[in-house]
Amino acid sequence: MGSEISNAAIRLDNIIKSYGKHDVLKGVTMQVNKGDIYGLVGKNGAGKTTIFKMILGLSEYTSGSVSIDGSQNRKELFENRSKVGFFVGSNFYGYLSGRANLEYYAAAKGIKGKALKQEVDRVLKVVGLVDGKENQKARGYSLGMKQRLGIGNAILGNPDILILDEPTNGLDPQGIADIRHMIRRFRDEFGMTVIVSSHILGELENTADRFGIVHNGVIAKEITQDDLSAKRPEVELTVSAGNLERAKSILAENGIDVLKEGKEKVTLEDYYFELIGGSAE
Amino acid sequence: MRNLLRADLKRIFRVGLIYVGLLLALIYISYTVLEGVVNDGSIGLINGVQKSLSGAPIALFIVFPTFYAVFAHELSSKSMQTVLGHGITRDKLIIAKLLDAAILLLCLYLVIIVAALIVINTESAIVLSPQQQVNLIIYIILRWLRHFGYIVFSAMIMYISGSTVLGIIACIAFTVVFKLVFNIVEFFSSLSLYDYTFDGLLDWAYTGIEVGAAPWQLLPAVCYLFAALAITTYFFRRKEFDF
Repeated sequence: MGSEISNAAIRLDNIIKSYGKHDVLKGVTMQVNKGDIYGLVGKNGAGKTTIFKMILGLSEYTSGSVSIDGSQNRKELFENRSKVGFFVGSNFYGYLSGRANLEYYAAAKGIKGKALKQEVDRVLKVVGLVDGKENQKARGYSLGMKQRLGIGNAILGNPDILILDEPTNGLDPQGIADIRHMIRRFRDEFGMTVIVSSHILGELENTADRFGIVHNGVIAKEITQDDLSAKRPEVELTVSAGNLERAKSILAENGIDVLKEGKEKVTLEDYYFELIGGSAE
Repeated sequence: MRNLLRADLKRIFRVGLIYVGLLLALIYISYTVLEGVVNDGSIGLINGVQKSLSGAPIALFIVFPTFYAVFAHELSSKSMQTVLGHGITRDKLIIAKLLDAAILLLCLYLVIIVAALIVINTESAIVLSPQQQVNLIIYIILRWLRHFGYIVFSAMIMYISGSTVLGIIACIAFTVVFKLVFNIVEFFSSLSLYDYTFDGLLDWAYTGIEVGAAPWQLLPAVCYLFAALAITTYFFRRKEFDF
């Protein structure tokens, strides 16, 4: 248990959040380990965003405790919030350019002089706001560019922990694929612990290592990719249509039952990328 | 907080409205001061400066753009959430924003003072006595304090209501119609309430200074500012932020 806690990037213990008599969170307990990509899934209104607000201190919890990077008390929790970068939508000044917005937030974080310019250049490159797009006024950005700018703001200063609230909301398939790719890169290349939420389950399925399923104000279940595989002991065998009968007879000869037979469809996403180019990876 | 202040000032000085306001203010002040000088010499000059800084036009040209530049985009940009999430306290955020406004207002006043000096020097026949010079400087400082007060009160309304529009309306109301409303109330009720308002106390203090009395009225006036700050932080500490 001790080493489990010391490996925790974020830990919530029995968090309750009430608005009057209405409990939005009814005792959330969860732990995100260092180096995880943790997917927080649940329908709209389940409490995902409220959980993020508690972690970030943007809303006070009624009871329970939050710990960031092993913080033991409120003072440490407050100090450790500087280790967290977060994306919670398009939070920027529309009359400033993308670059000026990042410069503003970088300066507010205490990055100065030459280091500031270098950091902003690095981030713009990572999120793909280059080739003059970075100098356009942010209010004129497309939704995808706004999401990129918001994520860029979140990764300024290379935080240890990254929180992304519905980062693919409203994006086109290429935008969604790009963000998925970025999330993996943030963990694998920059060593960040990432918590990402979505109400679209399929979106996180191939991105996160662990999942917390939020339902009715609690984490109904925490599962891993391995748990998902173990849930389904059957395996799938894919053969070409021409070999189907032969494959079935070989299996039958060896006493192996075929439980389900069906024709596999090309996913819409694969079809889309085949048609217009690009990739989901 | 220093980092936030520095970043914010750089951002604020990119708002075009403050330069438009400043240009209009300079034209208005130059006209009013010159008109005073032509009519009444050195007395006219002092009256011109006082008239130009005390009217609604200058408040609209200076105070409103300052409030707009510092606060207008705070709620819509959700930058507060970002800054708070990065680990700055709510109290420090409020203080940083008010300091932004105080510094910006001071910069605009410095430009106005320099412009007024240039106007005065063009009229080489005008010589102000040392007492007149001191009074003029005190008058300008009190005007700055008054205009800063308007911003503090408007910011309080914005933060409590969570509405930028209400903050802007309050700012315009303080700068343009506040005194008028009290004049009307006093006219119909014979109650002398205005003297005890922030505005009235500053007027009273300056009148006292002119006749050599101690400006004790400044103390309750400053208390008003601290009370507004305390109320703002009280509500802001309890504020629930949405994404």
